[in-house]
Amino acid sequence: MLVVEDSPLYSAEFFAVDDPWRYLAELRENDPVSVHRRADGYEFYALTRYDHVYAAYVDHHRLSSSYGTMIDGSYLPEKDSASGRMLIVADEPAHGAIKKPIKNSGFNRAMLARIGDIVRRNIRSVLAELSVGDRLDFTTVVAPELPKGVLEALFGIGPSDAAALLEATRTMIGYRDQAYTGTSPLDALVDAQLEVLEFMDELIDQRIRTGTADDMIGFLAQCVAGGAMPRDVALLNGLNVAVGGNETTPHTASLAVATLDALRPQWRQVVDGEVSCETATQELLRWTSTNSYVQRLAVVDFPVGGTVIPAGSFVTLWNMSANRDRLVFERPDEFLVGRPGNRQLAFGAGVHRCLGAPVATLEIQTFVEELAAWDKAFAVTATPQRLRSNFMLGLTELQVDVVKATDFLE
Amino acid sequence: MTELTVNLIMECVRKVADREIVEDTDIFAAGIDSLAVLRCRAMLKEWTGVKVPGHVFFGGRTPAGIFELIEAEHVGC
Repeated sequence: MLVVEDSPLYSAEFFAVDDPWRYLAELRENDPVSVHRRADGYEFYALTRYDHVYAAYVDHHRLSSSYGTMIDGSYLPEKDSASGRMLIVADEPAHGAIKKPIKNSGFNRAMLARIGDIVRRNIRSVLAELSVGDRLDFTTVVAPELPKGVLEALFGIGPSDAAALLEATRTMIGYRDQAYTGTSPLDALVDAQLEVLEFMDELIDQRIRTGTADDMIGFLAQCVAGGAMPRDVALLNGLNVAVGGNETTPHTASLAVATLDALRPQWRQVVDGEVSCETATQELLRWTSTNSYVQRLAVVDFPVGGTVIPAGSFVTLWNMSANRDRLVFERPDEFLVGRPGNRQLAFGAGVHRCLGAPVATLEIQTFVEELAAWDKAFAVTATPQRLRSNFMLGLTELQVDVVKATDFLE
Repeated sequence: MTELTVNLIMECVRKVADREIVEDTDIFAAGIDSLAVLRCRAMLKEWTGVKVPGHVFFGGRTPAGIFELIEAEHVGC
């Protein structure tokens, strides 16, 4: 089996300036299961083929989430400190018990409709303020509008609180990127995380006082008040939902704008109604694969791809690679806006499949719909700046001009 | 309001961690995590009016180290 010393898969720099897609394509073709080491002794197995990644996702008994879902999330033999109490780092049966109240209160049909309305209102209002000739950074002016509406609905807060919460989660996830944190990244991460937890704590207090439970945090507050859920569990999962929602879809939207700018004839198919916004959204999700990988720990031997990953090993599941697998997708390295039967794996699979997937899809589709209906368009004017992260594929800067839609599509 | 001292830091960590803590106990080895830091911070704020930034707990690691960082950063001044 291929063993890579000092693997580029650890390097945020590699993801920001080099071509991780090509590197992963070579692995997928020649060494679909490989080992990646770092000088300090950290080591993980990398799964790069769709069928292997899928098999790993659904095998949550052999592959535990309790040891952190990011490289460096925690060190063996220690579990993540939130292990078993926060969705993303909990195994069954604790995971299912936490997931149920969150899913039922935050992601039910009525809540989805409410979220959809707020997100559409926010996108419309930000687009309506723009005039032909405006120059702006899409990542700061438009992209944050997507999750902002979700926060407003789930946490029952106003736009300014939602914006502050966004800022804090952005600092947490992008803490290795100077664009977000300045010079003291770990301090910024810690302070931002506490800020979010404190915000959740105050919201829960307030909701216990008022008794309103018609949104996610209100429902969790009632669970805390009634003794059904420890307060720490409510806090950690409020944090989990906020981070999961905030630090993904803005990147997907930014990458979507950059992608469509380069492929205008394909965008015309959406504008003309030849390809539905729903279909286009699925291809954008496949193409951008915003969450590049997740990590698991094999608690027992895990056989995959003709080899056996020994118990005690970290295993990484590369969504971005699975989404370019030629065994599943025809012409995998091409963006095809009308791609039929898209089985994109951007949200993972199995019990840990992204809880917010319906909301994220709704946000992106609403954005695509509003963009297609807009009489203007975003024309990219400079090379986009990629986020320095091997975990989130996104942009920290996307300079665009606002142009007439008809000029854009000429 | 009381003045913030090493003793007060030990006192709040003791309450939150529910175990004996001395000046040079590594509070994270003693089981303190982000949520516990949140509680410690709230307690210190209530007692002294000073809001200690989270990174000071993680940077200081022991009650003595935390106090030293608070002094160095003039937190709350």
